[in-house]
Amino acid sequence: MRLLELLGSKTLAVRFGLILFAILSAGQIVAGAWYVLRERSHLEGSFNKRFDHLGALLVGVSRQPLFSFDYSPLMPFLDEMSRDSEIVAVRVYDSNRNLVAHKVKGDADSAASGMDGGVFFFPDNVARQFDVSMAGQSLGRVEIVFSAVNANSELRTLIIITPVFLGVLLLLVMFTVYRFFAKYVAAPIKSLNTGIEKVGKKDLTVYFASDREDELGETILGFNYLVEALRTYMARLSATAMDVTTAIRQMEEIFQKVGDGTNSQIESVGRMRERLSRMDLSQKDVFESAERAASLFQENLSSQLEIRASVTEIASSTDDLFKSTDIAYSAVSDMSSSSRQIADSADELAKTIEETSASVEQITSSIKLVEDHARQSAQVAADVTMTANSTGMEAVRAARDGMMNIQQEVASSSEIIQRLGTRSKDIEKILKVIKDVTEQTNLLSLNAAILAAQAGEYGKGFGVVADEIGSLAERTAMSTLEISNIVGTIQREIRDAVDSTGRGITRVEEGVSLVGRVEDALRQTLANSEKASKMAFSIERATVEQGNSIRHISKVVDRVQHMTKHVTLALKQQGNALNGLVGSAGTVRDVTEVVKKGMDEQSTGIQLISRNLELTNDMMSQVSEATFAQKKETGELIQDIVSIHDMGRRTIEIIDEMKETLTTLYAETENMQAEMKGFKLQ
Amino acid sequence: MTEPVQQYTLFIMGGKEFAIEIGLVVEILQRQEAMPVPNMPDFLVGIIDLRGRVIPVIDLRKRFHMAPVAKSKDRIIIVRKGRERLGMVVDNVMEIVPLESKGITAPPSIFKGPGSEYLKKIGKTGGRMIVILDVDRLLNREEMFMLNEAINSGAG
Repeated sequence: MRLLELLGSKTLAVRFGLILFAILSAGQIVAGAWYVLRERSHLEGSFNKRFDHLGALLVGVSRQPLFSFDYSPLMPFLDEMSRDSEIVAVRVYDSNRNLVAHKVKGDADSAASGMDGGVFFFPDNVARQFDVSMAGQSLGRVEIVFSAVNANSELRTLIIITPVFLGVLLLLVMFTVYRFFAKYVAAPIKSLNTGIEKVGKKDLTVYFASDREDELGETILGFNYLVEALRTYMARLSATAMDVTTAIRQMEEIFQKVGDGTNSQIESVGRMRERLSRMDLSQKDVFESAERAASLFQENLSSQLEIRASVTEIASSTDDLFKSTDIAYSAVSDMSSSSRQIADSADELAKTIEETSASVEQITSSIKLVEDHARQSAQVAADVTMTANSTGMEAVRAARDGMMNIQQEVASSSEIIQRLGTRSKDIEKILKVIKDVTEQTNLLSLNAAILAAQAGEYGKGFGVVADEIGSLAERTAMSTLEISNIVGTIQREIRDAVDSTGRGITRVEEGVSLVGRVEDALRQTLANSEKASKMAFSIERATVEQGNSIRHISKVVDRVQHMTKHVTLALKQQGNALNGLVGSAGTVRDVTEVVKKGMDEQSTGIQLISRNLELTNDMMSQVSEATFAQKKETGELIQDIVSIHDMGRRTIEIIDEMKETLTTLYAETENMQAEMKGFKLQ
Repeated sequence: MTEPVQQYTLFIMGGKEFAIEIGLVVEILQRQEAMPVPNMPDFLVGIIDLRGRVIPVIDLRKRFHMAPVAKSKDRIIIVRKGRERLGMVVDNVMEIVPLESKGITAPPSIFKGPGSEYLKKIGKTGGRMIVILDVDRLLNREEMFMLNEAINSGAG
């Protein structure tokens, strides 16, 4: 069974053994045959020699008896000859071919005259005849028959022994060759095979110690070198994969930080937006209250103008009154000298007094109007002051605080963006490392593929791994390029963010200065409106006083009218009570003078108020304008901040995208590492 | 007995594809500084030390009078040249490709002549034509002699 198996397996040793066996067998068959044939010819030669010798002897001995026909002396000689065990028969014939003497032992009839009894053997009996002659005349002939049985048995022995001997020799040689093969060729090849199989199963720790200097030794040396080279490549590849993984981890961390930074930026931008909208609200308040204040002032101003007109009217009426009173006084004075004139004048006076009374009544109603307006104006001024002080100032303060907060937030956001900038520089560095490493990996996979291709059949599995690593490296390179592009986009976004943050900072600064200007204008307005309020109050007081005076005047004028009626009556009835009349007229003049003075005072006061109100109105419109401008700025700022916010969002999206890419990259690298871990290196 | 598919190392010079039998390639290296050797043809970059072995490096692009490419990775292919090793600078090594032997043909006879001895065969893969270089004929006897002199002087 074992032998069949051996024959079935076409190992080199068996094939070599079979060929050797065939060659040796053929050679030995030829050598054996040659040896036997040579032995046979040798034997044949010795036979022939003996034939010749004995023939010559017999011819010599039988010559005389044949000549003399006396055959008796032949018999002892023939007996002597036949004593030889190999001589079967000896016969002597005369010239007429008659048997004259013979000696036969056993069966000698089937004697052959030739030596050909087969390829190797002689015939059993071999006969040779020799002519006996004397002086050229034939006397007869002798025949010797030999038995070749001994020689044949000798040849037979040779034919048996030679193949046996050669067979043993062949077996010995075969055994030696087999042992040699098994020990010096098959065993090392087998162990080399197991080593190569191990390499095929990714075990690269195989090493063969060999001090042989033959072909196998060189093969083992070459194998060791190949495995060593593979191991080195694998180790380098493994280290490279490790580097890539570390770099990716680092990058992931940085991206996490970038993401956190961007998130906190988004948060702070959101807070800024909230503050800005709050500020926008308070600005709206400011604007509204400024507008309201402006309209109130406008109203106030028109009331004031009305008052002014009334006061001017009153003043001119009072002037008229004063003049009339003067005239009355001089007339009364004249009356004392001329009673006729007095009586006329008294009528005239009565008429004038009546007119005055009407005028005073008019004034009284006008003053009442003025008083109402003044009260209203004071109320409005107080309202304005309150509005400006409470809502406006508060709103401005809130706006200022908001602006300050925004300034801080923008500064911190700018800082974050700057940090992002430096981070992206770091990423660029790491990307460069990854790019280098990927290129190296690619190179290593190419070299591994070359080694695998040169390793032949056993390298096929390894070649597949090398290919895979190569494609992984290529994919890594592609991912790196993608990341590089994304990082470029992020850097552009960051630059945009930096630019727009810069714009935001200038806008915020402008806003802060605008808020300052609003505050100043509002403060001035407040001071002015306070002043106006005070003025309005004093006007109100003056008007009330004036009203009182006017009422007093009215009463006096009524009394004057009454008295004048009495005077006229008395003048007409009595005509001698002129002195009392003169005194009364003097009183009227004095009162009128007081009224005139009060009227003048009021007029200047009202003029002052008017000026102040106009100034305040101007201030109000300034506040309104500044607030409007600030509102516009804030609107732009909000837009900027919204764009920063959007940019942050986009950056986060991009970072998320990149994180995904990184995750795939990481997974690919992990794959590569897992692939590498399959290789046993130590 | 010929194999129907033989592996080739595919590389690029001046945007064109070339190939060398993989059996002739020992290793592929990154661009590294070679020690210049004086009084040598300009395509000889110099000699490098590869694990204790002095190897001459030639710039194959200069050898073929090609214009330099801006974005070149500059790989060195180490090839066997009998018992010698020779480094060749190329733009980039792309991949290991199997080429079917039936797709490999001899170059048109019009290309045969002085200056194109290096042209061994024309291979085809994916509809592209690739020039397969004869490493043994990249340099003529005189140039090879000069290179050996350079190694000896460099090694000495």
